Amino acid sequence: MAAALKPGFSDPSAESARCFRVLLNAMSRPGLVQPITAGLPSAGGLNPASVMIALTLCDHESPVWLDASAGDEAADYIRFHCGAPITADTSAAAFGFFAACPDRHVLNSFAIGSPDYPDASATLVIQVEDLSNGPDGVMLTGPGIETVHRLAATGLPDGFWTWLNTSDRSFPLGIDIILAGPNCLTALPRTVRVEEAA
Amino acid sequence: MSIEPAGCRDSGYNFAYLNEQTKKMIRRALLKAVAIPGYQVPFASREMPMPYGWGTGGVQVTASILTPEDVLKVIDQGADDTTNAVSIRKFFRRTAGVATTEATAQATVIQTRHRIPERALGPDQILVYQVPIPEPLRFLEPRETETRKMHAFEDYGLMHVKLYEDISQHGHIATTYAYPVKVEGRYVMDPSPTPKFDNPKMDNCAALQLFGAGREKRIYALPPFTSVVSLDFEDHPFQVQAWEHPCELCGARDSYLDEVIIDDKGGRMFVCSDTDYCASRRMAASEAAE
Repeated sequence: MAAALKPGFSDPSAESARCFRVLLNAMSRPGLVQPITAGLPSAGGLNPASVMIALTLCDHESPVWLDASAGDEAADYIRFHCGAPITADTSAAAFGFFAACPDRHVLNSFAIGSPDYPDASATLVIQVEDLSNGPDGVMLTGPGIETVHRLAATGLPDGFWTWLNTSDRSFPLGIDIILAGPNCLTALPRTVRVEEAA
Repeated sequence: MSIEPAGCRDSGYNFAYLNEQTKKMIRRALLKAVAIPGYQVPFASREMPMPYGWGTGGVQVTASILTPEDVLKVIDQGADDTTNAVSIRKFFRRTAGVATTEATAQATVIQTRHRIPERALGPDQILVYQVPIPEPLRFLEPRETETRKMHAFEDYGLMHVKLYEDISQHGHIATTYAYPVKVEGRYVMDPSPTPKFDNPKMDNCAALQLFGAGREKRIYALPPFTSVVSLDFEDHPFQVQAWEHPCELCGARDSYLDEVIIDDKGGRMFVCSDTDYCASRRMAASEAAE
């Protein structure tokens, strides 16, 4: 018998509203780490921050792609609580969840939108071990950042920041990324520019 | 001026009126709008219990971002006490049960029709604009298929021709409201029919700015600290309106003034359009006098 499904929001309207404000703040202030206090469970390989994002944003209109580490429990959880279709086709996914360190080729296979509709692009959630705004992080600039935000993330693949900088050149096309820590998150919209510390 | 505390929500409605799936759809559009500053994201605008033109776009954006802890302010042409502002404020008191206020400094979410408050907004505030026609190129090119391509190709020459024609006819750029801006050097955006007086406040603003157009089904956004430049020419630089007289109620010389007819003999006075700004200045002056 399959494991019992974990619970979603206990008070969906109020909790999803609070969680969305966290996401809206994150997306409008790239690289600033936002704490999460929703008290949600993990589901399979998805940590509570990823679960919060799925519950807040995914539904039957937004196909979800899950990496292998997320597992069947995560797929069942999203199907039940969000009603979102699970797809194996990265180019058809509105959301992609990486429970493990992503491969650059997989990252490049998601939709980046078209010149007419740059919004028809994927939002990727990448789980990381830790996030902080320490002084030794990479330097982020761009819209939403007054001067500079410094972000340190552990658990990202090698060459991630270089990859992000090169994909940034196709603006307004691109994918938007949310880094999901164990109990915090931060967003890297396509507008963000990265300078790695020397 | 104080906060009217959160009241009893009408439990016959879902929190903030819209159903959860609609809010998810709008929330996804909002995140994409923030990620692509100035680009108009299409969304499945719903029918609202008010006619188009009364702020159905702004109301849907506000409904999707409100949390039970928010303090909401609603202004119409700068005023908190006009029909549109009062009815939208009552709508959210009833359906979301949120606290409301008229004081700009106390609000966390401000929905506005055609003005930006005079008081500088802070990083913990969100400004939601009601937008009638989101497409800045619409009156120059009526076809959506064409304007979409013009945005894709960054083909904005037509807008400069329009401003040039202003100069050739009037000797100056005669556009006074809905004055087009360029966002982060990429998208030309309609700031909604705010007076051009307010355009400089959009540039590098500490608050997040969200725009909702209900009938036209578009959402767009300006993240905080985003470059917003009013279009102009080197020899005809962008200028805001100026008045000869200060506000006749509070004496402010730095605010946008409304002309008010006060009798049927042609009498008139100029007063601040931002009622909260005017009232708090008068209160501060009377306290200083005591």
